[in-house]
Amino acid sequence: MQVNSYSHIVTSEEINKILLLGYQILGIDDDSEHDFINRHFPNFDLFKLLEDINTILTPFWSTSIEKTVYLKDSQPPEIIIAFLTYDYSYESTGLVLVRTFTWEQDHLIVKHDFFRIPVKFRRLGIAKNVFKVFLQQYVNMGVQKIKVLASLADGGYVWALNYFTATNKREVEVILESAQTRLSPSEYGDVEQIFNNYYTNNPHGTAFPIQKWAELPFMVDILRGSSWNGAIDLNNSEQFSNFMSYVFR
Amino acid sequence: MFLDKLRNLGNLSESAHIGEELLEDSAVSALERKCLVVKQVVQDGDFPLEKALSLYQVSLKDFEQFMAKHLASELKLSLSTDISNKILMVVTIDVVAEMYKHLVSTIDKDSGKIIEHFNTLSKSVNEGRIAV
Repeated sequence: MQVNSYSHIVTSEEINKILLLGYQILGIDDDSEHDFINRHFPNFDLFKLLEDINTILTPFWSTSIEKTVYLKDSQPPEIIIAFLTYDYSYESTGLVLVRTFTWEQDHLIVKHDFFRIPVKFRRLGIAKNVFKVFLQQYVNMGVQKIKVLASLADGGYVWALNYFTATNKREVEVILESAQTRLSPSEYGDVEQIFNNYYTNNPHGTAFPIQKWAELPFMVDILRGSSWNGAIDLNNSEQFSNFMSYVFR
Repeated sequence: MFLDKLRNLGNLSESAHIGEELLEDSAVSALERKCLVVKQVVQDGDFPLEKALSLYQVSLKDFEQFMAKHLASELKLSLSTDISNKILMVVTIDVVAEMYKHLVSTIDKDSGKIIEHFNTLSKSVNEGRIAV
């Protein structure tokens, strides 16, 4: 799958069209929403994104979805996009999709805060299609990193398989310590070798390639119970290419 | 109200089933993913190839097939799509012949025959005697 960037300027007409699609726009209410987006998040084709998400979700939900764009005029500025069904707090039936666009040290990042599809709508292609339409905007806007908290119910294992790298060394050390207590000395030696090699070559590294651990059969259970902050650096051609080729091909 | 709802969600975390769906929908098999990791750990100097194959439970044959597919796909991508199928095939044959010369010919006493075969094949495709 190839994603090409294009230029875009948000207009006040588009903001009105977003409202007509049933979205509520919160945070800024002085008719300057489009200025806020253009100033802080250039090239964000917000209307296209929200229209596409509507198209993806509408066939599956007869009940209404609360669709929110929260423009946070803070330092740094943020845009939170959220989709919640009335039963959002119920794990098996509620839909939750939350993404936050913000800035960190002059780099535009997007946090994949929360995405959960009700059990009956899983494995119908919704997840992949939602990822695709967001990804188009990440490329447009020059998002540097996608961030995720890999945690709960196997997340620590699954997001490693999806080529997210671990950003926090202490969290990686905690997993390593768990491996030391649960693996044979020989297995642990191999796990430690990957850790040592990365941090020796990158003493302040923030992209530990945790998928190298995830593909080791004896690390699966350890990672399933782990919790770590992950990221994909879209400016790192190898990480981006792995993610695109192996997740979206 | 809206922010309260987000707070009610507790520790925000992307569900694992989303990641599982992405992997299941991928055209890439679990074996291919393992092969990619073998390539990475060898490239990064974590382990030598033999050790990596054994650790990730990948056979040498599977790894060879993966690498061939990977390199072929890199080659196709590098040659872009703006050339005819015929020229693409000619360039592909010539590149494979050059790779053979660089990597293998020094230890192959029959290398002359192999290179000659590549040259003949490339010429036949170029002159239209072999349809592409």
